[in-house]
Amino acid sequence: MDKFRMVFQFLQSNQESFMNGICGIMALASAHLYSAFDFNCPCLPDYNLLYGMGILFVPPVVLFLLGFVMNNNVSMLAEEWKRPTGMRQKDPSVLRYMFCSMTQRALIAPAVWISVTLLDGKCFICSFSTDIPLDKLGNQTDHELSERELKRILARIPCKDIFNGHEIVSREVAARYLRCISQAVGWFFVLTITFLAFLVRAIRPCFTQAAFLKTKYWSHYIDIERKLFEETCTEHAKSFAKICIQQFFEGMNKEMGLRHVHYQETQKEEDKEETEKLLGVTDQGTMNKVLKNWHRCKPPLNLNHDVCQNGNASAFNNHNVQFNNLSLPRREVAAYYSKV
Amino acid sequence: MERVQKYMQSGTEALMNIAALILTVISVKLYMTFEVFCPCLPGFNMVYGIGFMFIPPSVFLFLGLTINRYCILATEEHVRPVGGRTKNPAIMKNMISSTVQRALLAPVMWIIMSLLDGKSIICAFSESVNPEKFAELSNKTETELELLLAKIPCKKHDEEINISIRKAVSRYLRCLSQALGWSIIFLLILLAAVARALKPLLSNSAVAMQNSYWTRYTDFEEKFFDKACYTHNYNFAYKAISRYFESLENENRQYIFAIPKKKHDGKQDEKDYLDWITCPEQLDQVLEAWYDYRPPLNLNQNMQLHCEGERVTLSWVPNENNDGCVCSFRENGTSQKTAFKEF
Repeated sequence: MDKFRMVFQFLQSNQESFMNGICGIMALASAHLYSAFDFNCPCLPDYNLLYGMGILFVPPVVLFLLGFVMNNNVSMLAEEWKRPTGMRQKDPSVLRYMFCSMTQRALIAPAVWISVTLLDGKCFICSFSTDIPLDKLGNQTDHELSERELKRILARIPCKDIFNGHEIVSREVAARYLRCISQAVGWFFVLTITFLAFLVRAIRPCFTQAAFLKTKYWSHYIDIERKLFEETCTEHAKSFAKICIQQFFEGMNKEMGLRHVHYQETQKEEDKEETEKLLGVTDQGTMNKVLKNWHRCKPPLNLNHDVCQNGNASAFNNHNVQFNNLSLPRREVAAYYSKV
Repeated sequence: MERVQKYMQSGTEALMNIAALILTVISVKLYMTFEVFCPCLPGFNMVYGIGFMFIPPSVFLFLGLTINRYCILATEEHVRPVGGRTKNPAIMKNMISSTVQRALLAPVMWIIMSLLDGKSIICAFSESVNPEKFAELSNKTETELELLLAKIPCKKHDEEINISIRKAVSRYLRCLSQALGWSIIFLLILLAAVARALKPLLSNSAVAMQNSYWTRYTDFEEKFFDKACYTHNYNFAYKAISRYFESLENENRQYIFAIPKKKHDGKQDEKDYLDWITCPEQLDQVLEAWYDYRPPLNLNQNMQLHCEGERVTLSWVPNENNDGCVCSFRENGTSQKTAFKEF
């Protein structure tokens, strides 16, 4: 348990390593799923290929979609894409960056499934047993069998118990041949994926590093802002509920004419604190307006100006529009030096 | 456990060592899981055997390079504009050599294991064995020999070939393979011992210490910059949301934005060095400047110069051509002078 706690603590130390941890877990789950899966080749001429290729490609698609579902940032990306422009323009490079990083993480589990399937070989043996070159592997060349009959016999190669074509081809030889090809394809697939991952990670700084820093920062900002807003709304909901119930009980108290209501000083202080936490939003209509405005008209990324929000998304201020573009043309560098 | 945790938190190098070790353990476990399925067909054996010995190590090599932080830092250091800080090629060499050394551990382990095991060598070279060495093979035709030798790695073909031939050839090839494996191990250990012992004698220890210091510095600098950006992210969002609520039109505006600030691991709030930023283009300028113009490694940016009783302040800024720094100062109440220092 100690070990798990330590690993968990390490993974939670920042957002990125947490997501990497999730990817690792999904990859392990995918490998474990394959080993637990009971592979049953149908051993019929027209069904083998369908079954084999289905096992090779359908679970990866499911795992890919699962990877997207388990990623918290998917809803963030969708929201950012769909929101009205309001007072804050959208930056397509930020959206692209978020989509790319999510896709990369979601591709890990499917890649593991495909690699494990190919390296194991059963899927290839099932799919391609009818296509083996009999001139190289066959025992005899002059068998008087129709093509249909031959295919039917070869289709039974994956099934040890019912194979009855030992005179035509040895089952071991055919299985070994197909497994070798499958392993070769599997290792090449793994090599290609690893090489691509290496290129993407190691060579990427050579391209547009400055723009990359900006998009990484702003995509992280969108995430943090969203979380902080949700936290704010949760706190508000708590205070709202608390005060609402308090007011109800006070009302009941007055109605039932009970005396001896004793408020201590500290209680009054707490009440004041709770009321302050309401941030001036004290009724349902106003709260709905606040939430609607947050989505329809995100405030500008500018802490200098006092902008009045009147619930109208067309409250544009030309001055603000200039300042809201997240990606700006490059400026001269000579004037800047770091103060750190 | 606590010691392991403490080691893990001691820096990037410790993490990279642990990652290299984990990858090596994975490579050993994978080798033990995967069986060598020799095709036992003429022409295919060599390809499979050599492929089995070299393709998985390449995969581990690329994996090791990808997960290593110094690899990315080296590329960034290589690609960045010179700015206020000249590039030090020794740092890049240091980073790349430490990356490659760690990444080579898992592939070398796989190759040594396959040599000591011998199965892939038997598969690859069973067809190239000299038949004259073995008495049983001397009286076979060429085509028969070809088929026979190709089937040697596979035990299941024992009904077709004599068990003693198979055992003789396998034993011979396995001996060669193990001899090669052990000599590689011996050579590597010798190389490592010699390198470790002779390195301080052949290279300049002072320079090596400097390079290792500045390598670690580059790593810490990047981490600190990221951390400062993320702290600012949080504070910017906090201020933006508080402004949003402040701007609502309602009667009761007497309140404090009362959301408690996030505590980082129970410590004090991190200082936000970018507190003065109020709009996005200022931040974009900061990020661009960080990339385009790395500051010089000199913390005395405002140097005090005492000149015959009169204190003057020096402050170096890059000139327009970006090939040096200029500063302007007065001496003894004379007119303003400028000094120029090349990068």
